[in-house]
This record gives sequence, structure tokens and C-alpha cells, in this order.
Amino acid sequence: MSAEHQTQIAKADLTRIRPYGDTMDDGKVQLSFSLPVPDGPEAVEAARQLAAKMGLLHPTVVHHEQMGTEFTFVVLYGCCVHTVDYAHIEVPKVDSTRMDFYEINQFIRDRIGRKITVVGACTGTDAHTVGIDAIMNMKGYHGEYGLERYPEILAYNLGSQVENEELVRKAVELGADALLVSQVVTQKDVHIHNLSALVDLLEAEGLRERLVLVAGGPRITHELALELGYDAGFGPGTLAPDVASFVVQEMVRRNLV
Amino acid sequence: MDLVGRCQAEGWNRIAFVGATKHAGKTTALNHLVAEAHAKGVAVGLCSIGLDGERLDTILGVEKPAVHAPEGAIVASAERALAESTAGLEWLEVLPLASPLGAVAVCRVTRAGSVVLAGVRQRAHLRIVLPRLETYGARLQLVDGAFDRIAAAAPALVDAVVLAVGAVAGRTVDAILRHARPFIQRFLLPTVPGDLRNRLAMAQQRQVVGWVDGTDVHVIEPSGTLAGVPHHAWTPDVEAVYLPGAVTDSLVSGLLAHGRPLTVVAAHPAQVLLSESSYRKLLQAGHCLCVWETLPILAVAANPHSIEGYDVPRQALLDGLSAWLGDVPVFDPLHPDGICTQAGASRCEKMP
Repeated sequence: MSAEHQTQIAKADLTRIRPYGDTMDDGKVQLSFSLPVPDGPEAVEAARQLAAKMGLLHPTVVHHEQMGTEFTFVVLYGCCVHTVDYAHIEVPKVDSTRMDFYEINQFIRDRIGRKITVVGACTGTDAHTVGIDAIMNMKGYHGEYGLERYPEILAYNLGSQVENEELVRKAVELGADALLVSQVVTQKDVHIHNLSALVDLLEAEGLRERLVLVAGGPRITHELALELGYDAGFGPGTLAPDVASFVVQEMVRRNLV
Repeated sequence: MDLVGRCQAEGWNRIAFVGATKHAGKTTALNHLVAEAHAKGVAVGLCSIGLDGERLDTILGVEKPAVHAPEGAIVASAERALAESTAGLEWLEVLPLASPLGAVAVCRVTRAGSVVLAGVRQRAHLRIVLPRLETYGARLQLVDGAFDRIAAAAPALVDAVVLAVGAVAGRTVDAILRHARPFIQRFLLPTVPGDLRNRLAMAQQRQVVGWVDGTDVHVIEPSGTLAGVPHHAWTPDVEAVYLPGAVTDSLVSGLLAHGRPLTVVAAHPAQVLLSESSYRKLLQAGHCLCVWETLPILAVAANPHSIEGYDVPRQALLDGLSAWLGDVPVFDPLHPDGICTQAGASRCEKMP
């Protein structure tokens, strides 16, 4: 293969990107889904037709298996014909300098001059604490200490299934500077309602402007959080220093010291 | 019915757009009022308490209506959001409002186009932004909402609201109306009767919880209501309570057992965060809920199309809403000729 040809293959047009399977720009995608019908040739054909209706070219079922008696699990390949302009995509991102454990504590001592109080909870009916625990618990996650380990942060993890009203009461009682709200369960977009209801509650109680308000969870983006009236949103892969860096810098930016 | 004319006749200059749900049609209603104002030569000011005018919905990924700003409009938005706008903009002022998308700036639209509105997230921000829009010549200042957030609908901030009710809330007109009931109901609550107003004035002025016990008036510090209302210590003579903060389900449940009819006074409609069932229980217990200050409804925008791909009968939705709303215009912004009202109907009689 000539050097010129290698360059041609390796370089994508960033104004018109689409999925890549065997060769650049071939549009290959893999889908998996379940159909509420027994496994068999009709189920395979139904899956193929469905993929064609989704706009995929050359839909091919490469795997299918019975699930229970009435369902079929399908894996299917096809070609996407659409492209997107990657070069001009702009996504709002949390705009703060990421500091490490030591820098954050020093920043608090130097710029805030007192310990700060952070209250976290998984709100509503949500019982999944894995996200808030990863940020708050002393042992932390992925090699980073949680906020409970930070000497300059008084961190209170209220756990799961905390009602918004209870969270606000505790925030007042503890003199919170920041609230971290985790939402993992997202069926029927229940997380959206819980999150927006908390903002309205804080506004009604006259507390919103005194707090840094942060949302987190697998379906939370920074853009969504801003639209909901939060100061920042953090998605999967977030670690304690990401959140703490934002909180302390936002406190200084808004003069909440 | 011309909505700008209604604003002018009533002296309403600041309007908040609030939705019963996400995708209820707030931005479409906002665009309708902007176009109407522009046609009448009334300069508008635009801002949003969420994030508005972005191309794709943050949850469903579907296209959203753009916010169209005509030439001469004044907009307040975060710097990086303004950079995404297609409208031509003349920079007027950078406000002392930091946001994660940059500082909030005020601009004049020099060439009509779309604008992305962001950076204004709190009531406190609106208190800074709205007077600046007015200063630069916006006679009608419009605040778009976000999701089902009610916070912008505060009488201290705006003069009236446009409520948006959309088919996304249910697959039948009945289901949509059931969902919309507590959302609309708060704006139809009566104001506190004159004698109680006089007796609770001290609590209202200090923005603390206060209650009337015979001829005595009591207050507790601090402000806010979630810290607790000491109803366990009340005598049976307590007949009214003023709540400056959030009026919530748990707070109301504590008042249900009070031994005599109680008038619960919320500061204004946006402080009423009650579910339909709690409101019903309060009434069934013989109590009543009213507001210190109400907020007029300029219009209700009804959207019979759901972003999920189905429609409900348009006229039935308009009629169902009109039946509650008396002389408040109910309209579909995409078919504005169909504005209808139940002129002369009594709000209280019509409320379910």
C-alpha cells in the first residue's frame, strides 16, 4: 500500500463524519434490540425491515436468539447514510480548571478562608447511590479520594431516596455552600422532574442564589443541567476533583465566600 | 384577541412563559408574541431562565424551535450562547452576571435572526436583567421558561404569565387537562381577604411565617417555610397562616388536622408547589388556599401536537382549557385565529 493511499484512508472529513467499520466512511453500525415475538425467520425479517425503516442500508441480521418464549434478541449490521459536521459542533462544558486534591484544599484555604460544606444526595425514589458515593465517600473511586477525605470540605452524603424537601431542610440546617444531586434512574424522564422541582423549591425558599447547585448522573449533561437552572452537570466518568474544582471556583466567582 | 393590545390595556410590560411540561410550546408561544409585537412596532426584550434556542433538545435530541429576534429587539444572554446566534448583534453592555457560558451580555439585534438565550438561571438574575432590557428600549420584556419550572412567574419580577399546555402531557384531551389542572390552578387562586390581609401584614412585610390566633398575630423567624410551621403548638383559634416560602405537600399535610377552617396564604402562585391530591385534601378538610399577590394570565397557549408524534383534537383542547379560564384567551400559536375565551364565565365556577 502506498504512503499516499494510507493517508487517504486514515483521514476523515471532519465536516462530514459517519460511522466507520471496515473502511473509512463505510457507515457501518451495529444495533441490538429485542422484539416481542418468538425467534424464527419472521422475527429476523421483522428486524431487517425495522432497520430499513430506520434508514439503514443493507440491514443484515448477524445474530438472533430466543429470550423466554415470546421474545427474540437480535444483533444487526447496516450502513448509515447520514453524516454530521463534527468540525462545527460546540457542546457547553464545565468551564473550570481541574485541580487535584491538594490544590483544591489549598485553594479553599487561600481564596475562601474557611471550610466549605457540601451536601449530596440521590433524590426522589432513586435508590442508586453508586454515583454520589463515588464522589462523596472517603475512599473515593478510581484512585481519587472522595470529598469526605478533603480536610477543607465538610461533606455530608444523605444517601438515597431523599425527598427534595428533606434535602433543602438539611441544606439549611448544615449551612450548605453546595448541593450535589445525583439522579440515576431516568425511566419516563422522572429525573428531569425531580431536578427541576428542586430548583423551584430552592427559589421559593429564597435559597437558590446562596448555593452552588450541581447535578450528576449517567444521563446528565452540562447543557441539560444549565437548562434546568443548575450551575453545572456532570456525566459518567466524573471524579471528586472534577466536582470539587468546579464548586470552589464557582463559589469564588459568585463571591459566596 | 390581540395579546400585545391586552398587555398595553392592562399595563403589563414583563411577561414570563411557563410550561406545564417540557415541549408544551413555550418557545412557539414566545415567538408568536414577538412577531405580534414587531408587527405593531413594539420593541421586545428577550431572555430565558433556562437555555433556549439551541438547535436540538437536550433529552430527546429532536429539533427545537429557534427563538426568532426581529431587528430592534434587545436580548440578554451568555457570551458563548450569543456567538451561536444567527441574528446580527450590537453589544451594549456586559452585566455583572457570570455564567458557565460566559458573562451575560445585553445586545441589540441589528439584523433579524435566531438567538440562543442562556446564562440567566435564577430569580436573582432576572432582577438584574429585566431593568436593563427596559433601559435599552424594550417596552415588552419576555422571559422564556425551561421545562416545567415555575420560578420566573413571581409578581416581583413579571406582570403576567403565558402558560403553555401541550399534548406531550397525555394522549387524550382529558389526560392533558388532568395534568394541567394543578399547574393552572395556582394562578386562579383568590387573593387573601381584606381583614386577614391587614392582620397578616406584619408577617408579609418581614417575609416570615405568621398566623392569626383570635385577635393576636404571631410570627416566627427565620424566613422560609421548610424549616417548619409550629402548628402543633397552635390553639384551635388559629384561623389563618401566611407562608412566605414554598407551600408543599408535606407542609400542607401537617395543617390538615387543624381544628377549625384555616386560610392558608401563599405569597404568590409560584410558591404553590402542591400536587393535585394535596390541594384536594386541603379543601376536603374545610381549609382554603389563597395568595397574597396573584399573577394575571395573559393567555394560555395550547399545543395539540406532541413531539412524540401524535396529535389530540385541537378544538377540544382549546375548549377544555377555556372552560376553566373565563376571559383569559386560549390559543394555538400555530393557528392563532382560533383564540377562544369563555367571556363572562366565573373562574371559580369553572374550576373543577
